[in-house]
Amino acid sequence: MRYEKLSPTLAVAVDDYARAGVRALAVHSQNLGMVSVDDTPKPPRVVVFLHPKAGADLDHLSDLGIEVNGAAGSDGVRTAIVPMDSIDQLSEDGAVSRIVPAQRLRLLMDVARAAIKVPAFRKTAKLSGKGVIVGVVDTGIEVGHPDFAGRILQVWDQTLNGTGVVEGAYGVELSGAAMVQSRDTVGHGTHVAGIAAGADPTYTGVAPEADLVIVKSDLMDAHIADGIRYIFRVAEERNMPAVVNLSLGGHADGHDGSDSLSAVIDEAVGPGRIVCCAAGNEGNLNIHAQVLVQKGRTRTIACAMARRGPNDPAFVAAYNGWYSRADRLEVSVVSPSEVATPFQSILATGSPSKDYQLPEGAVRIITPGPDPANGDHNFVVMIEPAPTSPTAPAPGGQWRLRLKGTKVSKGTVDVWTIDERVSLFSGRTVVDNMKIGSPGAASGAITLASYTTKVEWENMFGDPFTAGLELDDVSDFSSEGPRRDGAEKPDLAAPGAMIAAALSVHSGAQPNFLVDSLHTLKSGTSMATPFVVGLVALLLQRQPDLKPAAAKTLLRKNSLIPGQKTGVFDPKWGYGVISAKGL
Amino acid sequence: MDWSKVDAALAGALADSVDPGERRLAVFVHVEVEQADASLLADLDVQAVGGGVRTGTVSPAGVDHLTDQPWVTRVQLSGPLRLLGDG
Repeated sequence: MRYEKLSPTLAVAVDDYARAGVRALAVHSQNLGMVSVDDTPKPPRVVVFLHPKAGADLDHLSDLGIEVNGAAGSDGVRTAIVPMDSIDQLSEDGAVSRIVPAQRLRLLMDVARAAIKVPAFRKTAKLSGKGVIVGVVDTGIEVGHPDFAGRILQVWDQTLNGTGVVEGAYGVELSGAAMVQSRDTVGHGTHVAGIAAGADPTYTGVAPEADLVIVKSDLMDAHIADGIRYIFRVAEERNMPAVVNLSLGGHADGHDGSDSLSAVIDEAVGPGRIVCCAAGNEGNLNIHAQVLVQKGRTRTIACAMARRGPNDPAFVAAYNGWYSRADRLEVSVVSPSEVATPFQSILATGSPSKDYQLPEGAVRIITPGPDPANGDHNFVVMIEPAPTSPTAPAPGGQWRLRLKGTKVSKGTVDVWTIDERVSLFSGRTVVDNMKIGSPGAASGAITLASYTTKVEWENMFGDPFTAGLELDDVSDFSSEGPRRDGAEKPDLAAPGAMIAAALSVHSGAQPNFLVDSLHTLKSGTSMATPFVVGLVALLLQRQPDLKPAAAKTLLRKNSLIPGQKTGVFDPKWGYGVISAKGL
Repeated sequence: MDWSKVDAALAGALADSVDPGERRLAVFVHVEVEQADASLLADLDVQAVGGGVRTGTVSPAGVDHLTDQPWVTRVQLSGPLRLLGDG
């Protein structure tokens, strides 16, 4: 069986049929185009769309009992009635590239697009994104997805072995039929691309006629930087404007836009070259602690850490602290059994990194001199907890960071946990702000918060679900600004909760979120970002030399926090939820 | 090594006791564009394109050599970012 040729719903139906026979098809018959679910007088059959390889003849399929209907359309797709028993052989047939079941259609409201007036704007302004490149640096794209048919210009797959491109001597650049070598096995990039530029009649992307340039990235920030430059270079060679989508982020930076990836974005953008970034999804997570340190006094930050069992792989909890160039601090770490490292001062000469062994784990403290980019002081603490026996008593307490002022003028210290999956802060030092890291903190980027337009949905099997979010409000999970230097971030909000868009057939689909065989729901500021990427594509179609600052100003002016006047900034909302109506 | 040009994360990575001859580190290299030595950057596997901020995958010895150049202002370790959507 060539599962990669089957839509996820058909794959599930085939497996269920193989395991439990015709009885298993009852549930699928509610949704798929099942002709018969009884095995008498004919075996169960399913109505499908067959996507043939270019120029392939499908006449021989009658030998498998498959009735191929009518003439091919301009896209070559045929409909057919296929016995369930023949799906396996059909998937192995070299003439067929994809098998998608017909469905019982329902009218589905495209809530998110309408909520920000995208259809009305597109219709009134007669804009579709045509002539504009939407660049996506992400997990790749399902090249064969019908929502992108004929509009993917090039793919740089950084994860394949090859000689790369001008911007980086790694990965493989693909175009035309060869693009199928690159697969989106995660599904994130395909979904993002679908929101920005998908061409489905129901789940229409914001700019459904834009062309796409895709970078499938390993997600290292240096390679993301290479991907941004690649997209803008391709756009320049084609004499097209471009907007790049970055639905990713981290917290290993100064949260002030001075990090290297932000510097690359600031350098790369310009007239006709715009970048949009996600704010982050840590709105409900204690990833940021802030203390005010005084000279000669010690302040403590409590760190709740995942417990490492005897058979668990090693992990490192890392903390990233920043404070004024005018201050000098010493840093120490206290283990759960109250054993502490010495206080480590700034080590401006020689390696600033020192290692310590405490009873419950290994500790590395790094205290360099002023950061060359912003002049502030930065320290990094890394803790690798030792495995604990399941029969041993739990460690009495938590890991703690101790900060002692030796020269204090400002005194404020901000610390972020780099990976919230292994450690969060607890106690009174936790603050709910400044959670937008790189690249959302980049001055030259347009940074998006998430707004909730849907909290209830039915999956394609008719099962109802409810999300734990407040409708028509900024999404709880959306990360708060401002930046550490006080600059305003995020810039604005767009729909990011329960958004339906393209499903990659190569990713593991979650049935609860499938709205049909080609589309799924996802949530996050990742989903808010391509809404505005699509809007920027429309604006670039209207004005190809649009400058990033002008685009940001226009978008901010057309955003509004409910109950407030236009032009009011809030660290959770930015300037509010975008409305395309007045763009 | 001019440690004043190295960020904290890179300093930590350089402290790891893995055979330095085998290690390669993905980095950003900040340069003064007018003064940058293109051939030296190429020899150290740093990209030729990119204006003031270049990317490359270099050895610890390469980091050492880069920080000694007066036209290199900063070398920062590249790190992984996370996707910001569920599922």
